[in-house]
Amino acid sequence: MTSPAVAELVISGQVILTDEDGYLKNRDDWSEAVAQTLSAADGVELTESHWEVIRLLQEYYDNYEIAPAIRILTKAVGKKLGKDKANSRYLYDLFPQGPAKQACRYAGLPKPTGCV
Amino acid sequence: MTIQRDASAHIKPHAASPEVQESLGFPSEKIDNWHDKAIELLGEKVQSSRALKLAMDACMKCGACTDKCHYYLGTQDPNNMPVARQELMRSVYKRHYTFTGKYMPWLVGAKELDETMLDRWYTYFHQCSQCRRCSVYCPVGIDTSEVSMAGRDILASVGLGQKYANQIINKANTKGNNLGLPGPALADTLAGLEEDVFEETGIPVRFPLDQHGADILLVTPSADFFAEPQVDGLIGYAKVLHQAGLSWTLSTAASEAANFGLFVGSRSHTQQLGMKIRDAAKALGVKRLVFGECGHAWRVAQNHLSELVGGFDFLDDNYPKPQHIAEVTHELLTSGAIELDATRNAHRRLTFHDSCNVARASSLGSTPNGQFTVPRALLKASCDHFFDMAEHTTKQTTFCCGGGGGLLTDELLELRIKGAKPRMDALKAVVEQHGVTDLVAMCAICKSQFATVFPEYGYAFDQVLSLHQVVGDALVMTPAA
Amino acid sequence: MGTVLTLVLWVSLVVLLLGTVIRLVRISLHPVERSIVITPAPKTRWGVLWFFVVETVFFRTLLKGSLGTWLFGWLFHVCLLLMFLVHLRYLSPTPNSLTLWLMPHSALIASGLIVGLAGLLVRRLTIDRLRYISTLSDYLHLVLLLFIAVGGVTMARLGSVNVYEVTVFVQHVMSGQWADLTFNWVLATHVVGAGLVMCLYPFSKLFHGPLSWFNPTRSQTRRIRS
Ligand code: SF4
Ligand code: SF4
Repeated sequence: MTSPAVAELVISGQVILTDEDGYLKNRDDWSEAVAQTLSAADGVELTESHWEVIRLLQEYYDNYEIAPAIRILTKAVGKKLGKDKANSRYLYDLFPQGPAKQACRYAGLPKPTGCV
Repeated sequence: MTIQRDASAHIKPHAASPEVQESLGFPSEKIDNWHDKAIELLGEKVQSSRALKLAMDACMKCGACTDKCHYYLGTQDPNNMPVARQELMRSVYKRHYTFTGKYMPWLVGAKELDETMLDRWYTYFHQCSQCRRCSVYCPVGIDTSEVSMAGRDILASVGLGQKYANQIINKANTKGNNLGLPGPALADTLAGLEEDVFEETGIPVRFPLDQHGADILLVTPSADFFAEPQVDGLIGYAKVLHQAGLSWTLSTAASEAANFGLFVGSRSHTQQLGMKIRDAAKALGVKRLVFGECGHAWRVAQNHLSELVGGFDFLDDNYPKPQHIAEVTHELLTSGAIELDATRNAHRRLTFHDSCNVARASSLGSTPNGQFTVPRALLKASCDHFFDMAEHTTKQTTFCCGGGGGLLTDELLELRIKGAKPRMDALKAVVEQHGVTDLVAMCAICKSQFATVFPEYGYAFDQVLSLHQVVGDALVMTPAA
Repeated sequence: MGTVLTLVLWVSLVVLLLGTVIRLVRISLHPVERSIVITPAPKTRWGVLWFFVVETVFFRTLLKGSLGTWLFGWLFHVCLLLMFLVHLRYLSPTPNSLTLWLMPHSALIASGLIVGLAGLLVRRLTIDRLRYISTLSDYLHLVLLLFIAVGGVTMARLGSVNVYEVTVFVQHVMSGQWADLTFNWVLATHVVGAGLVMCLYPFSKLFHGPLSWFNPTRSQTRRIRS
């Protein structure tokens, strides 16, 4: 009841609105700088592997208006980065708060909600 | 263990946005006459519900329930003692609707619904997973979940809805499922699963969608499409149905079994969500309706659905009521239609978490206690190493996973971690004593909750398995001709 | 004093009986919205009945929930029932055989009653969870009952009350006649206290027993597919 419905992020002088969990209010506000700012706040340094996942999420979202299911994501990661990485353990290593939620946040996508 | 006042007073869910509130027919923000409206609604609710009336009148403050709630055990906040949670509503009810409460409030602890009390309602009615473990121990059988459901509905009705549950109801209403998974994404996901299973087994197991004339409509929580380990359970259902040669389908329109209308105490929303399932079953012309692994969906399906949506007279006479996938699989196993090979799970040592809504609000199969014996029979047939957790933490007295009842949201993570403690303690005991490697669950919420809190207790996120994942792994499948 | 006590007893009896009926009718008028039975539940009405018989006689759920409260609570209720039977001696000059058999043990029964009540009170005062949920009325109910019990014991010990006279008094009251009684402080408070409990019973949490039979979490049968 007391938590603010919006928060903001200031990136190179520009104010960007997020919801109370830190997900962008508006997808168009996304830039690589946004992802970097958000991940830095979590103490995560974005490597090329992180970026691959972020781009995969965005691509899927553009097609289907939703983040990909975990199986789809791991398969896509496997295709891009090699079979040994086609599993959720690998994704959890990259995004310890859970690949779906944390990666979606960095990617500027809304939070997946439901019984997940 | 001593109480610690206000230990979890700071944990509250986010408020629902004005848009979501409005879409569900609630005021967009806190209304000016919230006090009078809330009192009026409280009176109406008590009047129309015997269970609630008894919660207001019959508690003798014996205290038997005080140490039975996982949220109390995990937080030590006295307002999480079931009787104290009820008292938040009872004290206000007494103040306005009883003689002693009106004229001698100091005698019976009657209280006014002021800002502080309203805040407590919002906080502590959202720290109840409506698991009803407390009711099992209450000599007069008071059901605290009825109190928290009614409380949430009143709160939403004065403009103080909770974001997580209400947003989900809205999504299920508009997009067909809790996740907001659109039809094309669902189709793509299922196609991907067919590929995966074929790659793994060499058998063309299908995941049919919107197939008119199929015999069975399978309705499952949308998490089964999206997350792990839920999806492994879905694969298990598909393998079993394939092997048994049953004709089945999923539905885009009814791509959600879960019914969050129950959590927020709203009959109309429970009904609306249930109606979609009935309509889809009718439109597809199926003969049987089968529910996937979701605890409260099964509770609603078994106890309320028929009454809420006007019956299922169009289903086959042999299967006139909704069935649970575990019942279906168990029947197939006992009739010899499928075979399970326990050696395929030889690397696993399993224990089973009874979900509250299956254990305490439903039954499975046709035998008494089927909700306890059916899943265990399936597990024992699928794996030679099965170990139950302590008696007072399983079956009818099972502890909630800590994330049920519409609380499976990130801002309540601290509560969820603490509320999981009793279950984690029981798990630890069997891990140490029997070397248990995995915890099996049959509810989408339980599975997500454990996957999230396991790392806090020293387990890996993937040490929780779906019941049908284990069954599917043990299933003896006939190679394609 | 006889007149006052006669009045007290008449009023209390009427309140007790009428109140009980009103309360039972009112709770049964509250609709059961949907099935909320706690499973596994009995399959048949007979099964439900059996559940309540065991529950009412042994407080089985309470036993499962809290051994301490069960011990003192059950002791109190059983002794209260026995004490009630002992008091039937005042209804006629020739008591029934059960009462006659119990009468010599009334000191033991009274001790049980007091130990039970005191135990409940001590638990309520010393266990912080119970203290947190207790309101003034929760203590007063126990104190009132203790007060009545101690008064009864005092009279029995001192032998200050003429049993024959009380028997005649009670018989008059029960047959609707005014009656006389020699003044005795302890007896007066004992009777007034009991009258108060009778009046409170239908309108307070003391009515938890009958209400529990109406709870849909317990009184519904399990719906099961055959
Ligand atoms: S229903 Fe469950 S969560 Fe709610 S008070 Fe009872 S034990 Fe606690
Ligand atoms: S167990 Fe039941 S009667 Fe006893 S304090 Fe709890 S809610 Fe009240």
